[in-house]
Amino acid sequence: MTDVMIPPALILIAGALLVPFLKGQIRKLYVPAVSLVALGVTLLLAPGMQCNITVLQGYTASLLHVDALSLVVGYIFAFAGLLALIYARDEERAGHQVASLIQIGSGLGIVFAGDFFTLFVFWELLAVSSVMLIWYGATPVSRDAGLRYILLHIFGGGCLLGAIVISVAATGSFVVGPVESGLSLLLLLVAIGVNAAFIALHVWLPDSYPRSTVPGAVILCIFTTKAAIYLLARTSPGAEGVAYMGGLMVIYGVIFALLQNDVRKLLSYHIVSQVGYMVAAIGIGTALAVNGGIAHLFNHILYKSLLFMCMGAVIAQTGRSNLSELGGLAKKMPVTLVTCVIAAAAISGIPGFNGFISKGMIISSAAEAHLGVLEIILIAGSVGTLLSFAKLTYYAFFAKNDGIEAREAPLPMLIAMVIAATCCIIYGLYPALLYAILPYPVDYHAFGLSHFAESALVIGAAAAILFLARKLFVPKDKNVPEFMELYRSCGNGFIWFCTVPLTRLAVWLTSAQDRVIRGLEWFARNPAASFPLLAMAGIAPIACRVLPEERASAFERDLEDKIQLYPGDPELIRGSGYGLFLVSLLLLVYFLIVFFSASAK
Amino acid sequence: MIIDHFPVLVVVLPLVGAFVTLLAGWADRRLCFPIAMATTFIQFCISLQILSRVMQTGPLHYNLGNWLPPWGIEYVIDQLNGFVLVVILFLCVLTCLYSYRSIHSEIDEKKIPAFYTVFLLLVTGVCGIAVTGDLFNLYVFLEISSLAAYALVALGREKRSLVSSFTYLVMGSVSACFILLGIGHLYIATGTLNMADLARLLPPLYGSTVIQSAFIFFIIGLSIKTALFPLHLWLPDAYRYSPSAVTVLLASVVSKIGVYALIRILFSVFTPAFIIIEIPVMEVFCWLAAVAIIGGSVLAIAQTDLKRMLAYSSVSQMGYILLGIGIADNLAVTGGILQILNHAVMKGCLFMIAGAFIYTSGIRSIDDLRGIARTMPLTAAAFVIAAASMIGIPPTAGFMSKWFIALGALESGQWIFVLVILASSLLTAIYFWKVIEYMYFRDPGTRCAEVVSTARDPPAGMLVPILILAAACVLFGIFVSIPLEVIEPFVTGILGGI
Repeated sequence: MTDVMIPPALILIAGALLVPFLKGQIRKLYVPAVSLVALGVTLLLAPGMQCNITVLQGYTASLLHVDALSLVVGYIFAFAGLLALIYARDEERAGHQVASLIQIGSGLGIVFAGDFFTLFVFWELLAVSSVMLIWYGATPVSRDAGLRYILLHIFGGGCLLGAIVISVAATGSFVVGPVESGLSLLLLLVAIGVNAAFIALHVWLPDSYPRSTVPGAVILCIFTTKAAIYLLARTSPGAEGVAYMGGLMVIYGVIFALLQNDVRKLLSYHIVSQVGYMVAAIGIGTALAVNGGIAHLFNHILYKSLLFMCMGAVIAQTGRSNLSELGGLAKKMPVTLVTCVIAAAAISGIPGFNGFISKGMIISSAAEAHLGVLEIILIAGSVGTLLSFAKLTYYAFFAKNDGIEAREAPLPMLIAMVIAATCCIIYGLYPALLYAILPYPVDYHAFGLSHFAESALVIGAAAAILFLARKLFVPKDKNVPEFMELYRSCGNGFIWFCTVPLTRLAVWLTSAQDRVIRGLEWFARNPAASFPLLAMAGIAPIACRVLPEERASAFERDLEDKIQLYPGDPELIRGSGYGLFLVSLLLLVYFLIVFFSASAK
Repeated sequence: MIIDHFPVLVVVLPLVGAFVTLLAGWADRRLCFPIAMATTFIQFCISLQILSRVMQTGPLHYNLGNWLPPWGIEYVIDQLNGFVLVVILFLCVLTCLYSYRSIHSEIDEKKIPAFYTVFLLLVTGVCGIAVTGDLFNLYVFLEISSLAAYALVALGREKRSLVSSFTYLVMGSVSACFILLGIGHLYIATGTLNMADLARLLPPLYGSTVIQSAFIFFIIGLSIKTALFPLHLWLPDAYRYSPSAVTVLLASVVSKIGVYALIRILFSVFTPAFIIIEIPVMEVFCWLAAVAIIGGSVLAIAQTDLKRMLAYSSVSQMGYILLGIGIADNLAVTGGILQILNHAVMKGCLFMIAGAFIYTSGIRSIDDLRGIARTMPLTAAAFVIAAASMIGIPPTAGFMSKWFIALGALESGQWIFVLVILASSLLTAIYFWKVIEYMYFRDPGTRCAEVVSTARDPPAGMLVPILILAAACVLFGIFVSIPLEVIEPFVTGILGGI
């Protein structure tokens, strides 16, 4: 069965290129329409469909490779992309719309890429469109963040290309799949690590997402990290180190999220944390775990984009983004409040919402794989998440703040938010809908007693902590140290090193070299004369002390005269007497050698 | 068959030619050049024939007057002799051709018969050295060639020619003295003068101080002859103040025959085992060669006179040959012997060019050469090629010999000499580049703008040898296998055993 189908990625990217030619209302409708078409095409895809384009002799780009794994990720990408575009309806800048469409297109391109080079092209396109969305934030801060973003992603892209080239050279196969272990696997993990925000490579995420436009952040939060998870699941599932990296991400993300004041930064750290769950799941690598990871990817996109939509609405309506400045919005923005609470419940894993299902799958897969430490970490992460969102919801909507003027968000935003919230609940109540499209057959009982017990434990722990240490959660208006600062100071240090000590060294070396060359030049003008001259100058300090005064001064005058006369006439080197002396000297040397070697024997 | 007498004919012919030239010169000076030219050319043909016979049938032995060795004098020609003979006669033919025009402007008309007579005597001497298998006979020919060389240097018009000839004479005599002492020591110890015989009798006596001092006398004596640093003092002046054709002869023929004698005595009279294992003299020798390579180059940089610069460059380049021999490794010796050919060709070419500058414009100083490439394009181009070969730019001949020597140094673990070779290449590039820059990229200086602007490429008689040698610089680099085919059997023959 080789059905040919148009790849949804091409629809979106071709559609994006037409955006600048349209105007006003038509364009406003056109952009979501393109996305809708892409969603339709994605829904029509079935395993086995292909789209091959021969690019060069001997290399065929496989733009469409459909199987269960790519389908489930493709569905959610196309759907969430559409929601984000509906949400972004009021963003009218053509470039922003082009970048959004390309972003969705390259996300889908990665998911359906059949060969590594196609994947690489879309991977890079994704990074480029992300930078555009960040730069549309249009502040100096967002410009700098975008530059840092592109620096890291160029590094990641380079690693990916390296991994691909090594793997293709070794196996001769372009097909997206497990790569050779060794260097190419390492490079691949680094490349995925950059996009999936592995700790130490995660710095771009909290740095750039809060600085993009409001709808831009919604679109950004969907694709980059999740595309990396998809690639991880496809190429290298089941690596214990990766699983623990996921655990680290969960804890790290939650802790830093708890410390944040800026709402979108808080959400960004939660992306790190939530992606950590997925990384852990793929790292465990059992069927249940991979199912859980992909399910979590699916659910996470729903509730995390919803959270970004809600907070985006808050920021758009109030113009404030710090928790310490917000509050009292419950009555002014009721729909936003409700959807936000639903999303917060979903992300925290409250029963009845979709996060509960997939998080439960991951935690029980960790238990099944006897990774006790990881299991505890994942549960602890849930506690932190709950705390964090309790804080977010409270301080954004319920805390006392009379000085805020705000109205409910505009209709397109509300539509998108409501749809997303509805999905969170539907998939929370009827997980079978999701089970049906997961890559492996599912044998998991989401509503088992143990899962409720786990949930109760989490809620109880969170409530206890809130009760005991409420003061800790008051948002503080101060900067939290970030990993990025470390890189920046390293980078600044490097630049300082290059500009200050290195330049000084270069100047010193040049002058030293100059001196040597000048000396050689002086010497070469008349080596026969300069040798004795150097010898005389060398012994001058000693000679002046040892010799009687008159002779010393005569010596000095002689030396000065000779220096004055130098270089003289280089031709005046002759005299057979001199030669005979040298002959005798050499003869003596040779005989001495023979004498000593003979007596040594 | 006359072909059997070729080994002796190659020596006798120029000897007879010398006297014929002298007599003919009395009758008509114009006869001298054709006779000398014909003599050297026939010799060259004979030498080619000899070499091809050696390559086919192995070494030739010729007993003078049918006296059997070791009592009689024996001429032995193996691949090394044959090779050296061809090289020096090739250069002699070209020099003779070159001298026809150049010598007229540099010596008195009435001395021309004397010049060609002495020239042929010198050829007699060097050919004799090349073919003889008898140590004392070698000394005799060495003296003939040296005396002829002193006389040729003294033919120059400048007063300093006489002084430099005298210096050369003194140093040359000291050298001859030492060589004779060495021969005497060997004769006392063994009672024979035949080289093959000596090689057979010497090994049991290697521990003897008599033999060892004989060896040192040879080394010192031949070091002076080949102008090994620091015994080169006679060389710059001798090269600078002799007529151009004589300079070419000294640089490409006389110095090479000295090296040949050294190789012959080191490897055929003594054995490699002796020079490498018995006494550590060769290490000193190598270091002196290394100092010569660097020192010659440094001194060359300092020169303002083109011929003196080339002379110091010779000191440096002869150092390469001696270094190759001193390392005494298969590859290094191959490179050293290859350098005999290459240096003869390159330096012959360069000195001919220096002579051409003097002939057409009277310019001797490097400073005055500014802009001369515009009026003497062919000469300047030949200079560039030969200079490239001196620096050792692939694929020129000079590169090949340096390459082999460097390989040999690496193989025997003496990487320091590789550094020496590299450093010297740089220094060589410095002083040759200066000349090339002046010729091509500078406007003529005010002092001799007129001379430079009216200069022309020299007449065909001078230009043809220059161009042949320049072409040879490249051809012997590209077709390096041709000389290698001759050299390698010899080198494996003498060094194969260790």
